[in-house]
Amino acid sequence: MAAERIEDTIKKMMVERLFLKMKPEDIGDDTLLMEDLGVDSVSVFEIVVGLEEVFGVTFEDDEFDIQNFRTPRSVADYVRRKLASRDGA
Amino acid sequence: MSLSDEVFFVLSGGLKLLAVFQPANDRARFGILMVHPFGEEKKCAHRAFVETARALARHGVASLRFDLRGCGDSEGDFGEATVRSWIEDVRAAWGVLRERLPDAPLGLLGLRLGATLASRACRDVGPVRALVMWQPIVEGRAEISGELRRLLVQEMVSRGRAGRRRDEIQSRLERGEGTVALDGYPLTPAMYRDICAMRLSDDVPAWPACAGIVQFGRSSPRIEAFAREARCRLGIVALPPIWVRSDFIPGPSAGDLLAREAVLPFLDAE
Repeated sequence: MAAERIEDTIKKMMVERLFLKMKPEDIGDDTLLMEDLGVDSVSVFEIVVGLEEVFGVTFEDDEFDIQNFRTPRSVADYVRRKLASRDGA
Repeated sequence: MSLSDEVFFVLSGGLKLLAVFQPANDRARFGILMVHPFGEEKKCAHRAFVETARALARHGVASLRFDLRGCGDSEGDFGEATVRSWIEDVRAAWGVLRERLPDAPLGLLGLRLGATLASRACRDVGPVRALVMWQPIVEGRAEISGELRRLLVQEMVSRGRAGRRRDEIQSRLERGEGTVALDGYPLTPAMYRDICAMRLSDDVPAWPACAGIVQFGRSSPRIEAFAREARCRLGIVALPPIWVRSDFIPGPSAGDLLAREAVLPFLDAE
């Protein structure tokens, strides 16, 4: 069985942790989290904590850049970089 | 709507604290003092407290909820409050509840920092028949670190990037320099030190036999581990975190759920 795409794992995690009233598959890879889903700073914090728990990565304080949290695709790219950095270390 | 709520002031340290006594619909078989959480979390959780108190009344449990000094409608300056002064407030409110219910067993119910204050107050008031802690702060230092991280995320959302690091902020607070605004509420160096020093495990020897922790939505491994070690009961309630979700307004059904699943089982555990 193929491994789940990181984007899809992130969408599931967001729906669960943010109590979004939609299905993960209804969220596009390029859906804007803040503008389209109404994600606010409280929810972004929940996403950060969720990513750390689900993927086992740690985000440093000076890495908090909104460009990494615009869409599921940008969040997934960020996670991939963190995983590569962790696994390559 | 309940017409039986009674609103008055409790005196603590020369300050008037707003309090609401909710009598039980019939004779009170138990009385509960409710202790609210810190800062913005109090605002988010307000309605949940009201609905829980009213639901408890229908189950024969009277309650007293009140605003700590510097919070809500109470007198005092939030920036001058300390954990010690808030414990003094809990003690004063407990005394009023005891006056109201001279014969009923009494317990403490708190949410987040309120739960940790309730736990700490078990050393100072008594006898406490039940302690119910909703998502308590287990380690103050870790909690503050998380709150500062949340602040950095807020800065990122509003400005594009977080402009500072937690260790810088913590160093300044530890040196007694300035305050940090958490959702607009001042975290002073004194309060920072007080909360950092709070460890729920320190209070366990003072807990009553009926002590329980309730989690919201999903279980935290950290709290599970703590509850195992402290040998206290653990429950989980299927509601979003009521202290951060200002878009979730609990109604009577949520209050009833909280009363039935997050309070009553812990009062009847003996």
